[in-house]
Amino acid sequence: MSKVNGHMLFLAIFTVYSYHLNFAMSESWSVFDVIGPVMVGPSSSHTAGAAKIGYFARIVNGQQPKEVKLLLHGSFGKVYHGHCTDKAIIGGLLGFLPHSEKIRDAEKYAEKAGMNVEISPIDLGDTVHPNSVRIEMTNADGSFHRVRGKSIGGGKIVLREIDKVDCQIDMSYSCLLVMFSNRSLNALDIIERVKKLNVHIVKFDVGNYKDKSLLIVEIREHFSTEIIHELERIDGVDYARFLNHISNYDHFAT
Amino acid sequence: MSDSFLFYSAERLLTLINKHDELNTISDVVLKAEQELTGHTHEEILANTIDRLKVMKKSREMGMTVKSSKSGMVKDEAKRMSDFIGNEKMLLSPLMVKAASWALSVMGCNAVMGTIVAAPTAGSSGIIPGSLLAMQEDFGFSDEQTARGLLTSAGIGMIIASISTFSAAKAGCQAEVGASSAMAAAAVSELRGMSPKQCVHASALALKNMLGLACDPIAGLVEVPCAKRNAIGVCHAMTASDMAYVGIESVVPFDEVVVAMNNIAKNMTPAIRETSTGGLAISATGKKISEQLIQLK
Repeated sequence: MSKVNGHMLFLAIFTVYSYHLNFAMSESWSVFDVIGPVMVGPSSSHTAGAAKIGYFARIVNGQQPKEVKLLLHGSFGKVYHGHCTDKAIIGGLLGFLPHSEKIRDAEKYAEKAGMNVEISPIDLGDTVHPNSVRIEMTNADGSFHRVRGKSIGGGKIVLREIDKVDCQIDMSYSCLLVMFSNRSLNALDIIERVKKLNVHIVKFDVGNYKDKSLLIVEIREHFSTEIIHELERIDGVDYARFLNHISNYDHFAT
Repeated sequence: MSDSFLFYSAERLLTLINKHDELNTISDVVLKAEQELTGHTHEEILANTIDRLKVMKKSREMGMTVKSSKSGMVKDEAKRMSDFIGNEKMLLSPLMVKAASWALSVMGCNAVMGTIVAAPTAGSSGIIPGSLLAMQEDFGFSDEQTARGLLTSAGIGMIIASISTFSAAKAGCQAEVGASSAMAAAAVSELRGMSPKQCVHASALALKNMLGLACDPIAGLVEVPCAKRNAIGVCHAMTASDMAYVGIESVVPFDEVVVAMNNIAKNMTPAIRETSTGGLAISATGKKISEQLIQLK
């Protein structure tokens, strides 16, 4: 009993401490968030940011989806054609980054890849950022994932919902996601496993939706696919994913 | 405990410069802050900044070849204006005609889905390249010196991003052309050897005079009024810099101007916050163009 309390106390203090330390950092903009991204136009929020949301949605999905529904909220829903938001999100779902010139022909690449896309505006209410998209992805095996993200300007994005669990992932760091059943597992059990991997944990958070919980661990390093598979072998874990931080320190002027 | 060099206000930025002997310019602080945030060395940061400068040069070169965007709302304005650089009939100095035409050029590149550097956004991506590249050419600055200007512009941008936003959907074009103009004002001021305090005043003057700017793009494209706004935004930034140069100060300090920007954003309805449902977007011409473009589809 006291061991569990000790762990809970550690968790509480660590979370508060890391949030205190990292409030500034998660709000901080790198020079190259401001002067950047290097991107294909025309809009940093409606094109570049949109592409990033699609890019990370694909990773959450674990594979390229077969059927996609793009539900565009607010300004996204109103000006998506002229801002090429649709091309950008489709490009992201195909793995294209904001600077990729392939975004211009994303629909053609989607057709080649056998990915069907439906697009429509949606009103998610006043509390949702006016540059938001909910991406619903269905796979050939029938599995389904849903990601909502917002494009907050200058190409920056925040993932706000993953499979109905609320979150605030701004991708300042790489991010490990573990979706698990909270009836049979405890977030601390998974954290213990992650701690053993010698990674620098910047901060972590746990979100819940009914009997599902999502552990979000922001780390400095890159994860190997074996670690992901190892985590998925834990009983009660639905899936594990690694969202790689997109580096601002790549050179483009070649 | 040693100081953090991260700053979220102009006040903090200037305090850091006053407190530390080795920090003399805004770009000095930005280098230190970026190193603290990312762990990259000064050399790596500068090299990366010069890379972005080079991408901006390419965008500006590419834009000069644009004859027309798909919609026809952006044509060869950049080329047209650049033909008048040094023409005595212009009221603006040759530097400003050059800078404005180059800003138009980058926006032309953006309009045809070319590669650009968002600075801080794509809709405002012409102002900083226009100003800095023109100054580099006319004053003979090296890439390293010009990159310093770029770092200073980022510093002002970081403050705006921290207190406010770069999202036109939230704050209209204040957040894009307003922010970019304020950033460029500080950048050109630092290149001119003005003090950090003067650079910040230049930014305050630039931003102050863009408050309330609507985002009402015709047909939802980043073309009208966006492209030409970048040309005027360059001149706006240089005017603010000249005013600060002669000692004119902003009565309202920069940080408070950014807070005012937030307040004004709250008072702006969605119709003028990047939904193309107000202002120019619903003008007679705006509606006509929208209709024509829908027909074409």
